[in-house]
Amino acid sequence: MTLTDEQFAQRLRTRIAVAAPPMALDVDSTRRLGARRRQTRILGSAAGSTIGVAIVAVVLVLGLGAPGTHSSPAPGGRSARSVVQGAHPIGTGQVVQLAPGILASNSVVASTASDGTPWWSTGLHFQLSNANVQESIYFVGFMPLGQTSVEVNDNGVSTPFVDEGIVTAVDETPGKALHEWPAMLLRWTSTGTPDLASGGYSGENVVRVLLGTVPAAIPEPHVALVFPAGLTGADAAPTWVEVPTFQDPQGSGHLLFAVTVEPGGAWDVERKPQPQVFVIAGDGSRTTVGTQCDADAGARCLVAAAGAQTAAEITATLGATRANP
Amino acid sequence: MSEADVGVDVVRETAEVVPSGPRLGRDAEFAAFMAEHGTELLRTAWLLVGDPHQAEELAQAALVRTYAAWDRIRSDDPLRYARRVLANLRVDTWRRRRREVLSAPEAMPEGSAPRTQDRVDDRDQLVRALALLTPRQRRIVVLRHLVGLTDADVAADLGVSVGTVKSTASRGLATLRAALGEPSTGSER
Repeated sequence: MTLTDEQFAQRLRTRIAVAAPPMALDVDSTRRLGARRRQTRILGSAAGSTIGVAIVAVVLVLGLGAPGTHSSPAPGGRSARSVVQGAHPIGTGQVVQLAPGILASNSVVASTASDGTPWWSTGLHFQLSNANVQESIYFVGFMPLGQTSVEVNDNGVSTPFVDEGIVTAVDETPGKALHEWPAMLLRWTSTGTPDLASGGYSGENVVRVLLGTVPAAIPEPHVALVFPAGLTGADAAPTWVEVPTFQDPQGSGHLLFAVTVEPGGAWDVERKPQPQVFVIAGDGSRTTVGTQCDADAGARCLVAAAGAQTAAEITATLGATRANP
Repeated sequence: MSEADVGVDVVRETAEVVPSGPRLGRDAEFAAFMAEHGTELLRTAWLLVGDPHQAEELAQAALVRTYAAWDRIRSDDPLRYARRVLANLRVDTWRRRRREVLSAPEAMPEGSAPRTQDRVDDRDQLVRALALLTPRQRRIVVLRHLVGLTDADVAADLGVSVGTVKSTASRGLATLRAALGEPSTGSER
């Protein structure tokens, strides 16, 4: 006998009632998260205009590439030594193309999401389309950590570093609230490793978004994105691009960087090994991400990723901006 | 703390948030709401994402928003609000960030478990069948046929037309029929 749609659906519902896995929710943690979300919404709404004014001022300073000086907060309340970290824009626009399909931001601009949440736009955006997913344009930016809800990085993040980081966001427009699910948390680091977050956003193709902080203890830092296996359409020789940096719009003095990688461009995400970020100090010292390549091992890691010749080129180019520390 | 390769999503640790301020009335109401509807919302989330752990996260995310909006929605229809949030937390976003959420059919376990695990087998078969649907089909089929909302309610919750709900649900149900070995009525568009 052939079942009608409703009969078939009823049979499915019966099967589901039996087969559904055991799952549980914790009422207390849900309430706590909800309370925090509610509180931050209220605070964000009340403080939005004041913060916006403050941020515009910061962005104007950033546009001039003015350096920021800060004493980096360190775990346990210790402060690292103060260093001067100037933003290093590349070109004059807010967004610059580093290589085909690889775009980076020179600055952020204060903006307001459709739900009233203040955020800062990097000027980077990308479009995803999929036969099954509504076509959308995504704007990459940052939100103040204190004004976002806890659903950062899908894991309900709230950390002791709550005042020492910034939340990355992808704002979906038009007419929709700030997208919080893809958010990633960047924390200030006083160690030799930049804090790095990367996400892939897939429609018919995958767009990569790479955001990071520059370690606070690195003087006159420049950021290099190194491609150990070269770029698409070129030979497999290691190569690199400099990534522009800009100041944290919250005024902390920390430097940030933001890159999007569109499919079909110079970065073939399938090509291994994948690119790595290095931070080159103006005095020639360097560091990179990862526990195996901290500040002390930076030189060795740079050579390992880029090869001796390219590593020397990077160091000579980016590490000679300050004659002596 | 950081990842060596830029192509890896960074995962951070979590910490507990301490609530502030008395809100006993709201808390008690919300606790009762969760006690009454939590299981249903979890099941709906599971049907949407196919993984129990991700379903718990998704359902909690919807309930967090429900709690935050409680004062505004308590006298209206909190369940509908929670369900609407759940369905619109964008499965596609989860898929972008968490590829395992909407597992491809080929990624599902083979149905070769022993007979003593019939319940698990049936669960896997259902999840595999649902994974054949597009995200949009899945949301509509789940809400229309597996949760049991009306066409109009699904349309309102998802911001689509009633016609879209009907046609999409019909196609989705046909896909499920085929996947589950159920003869078709031949009426699918």
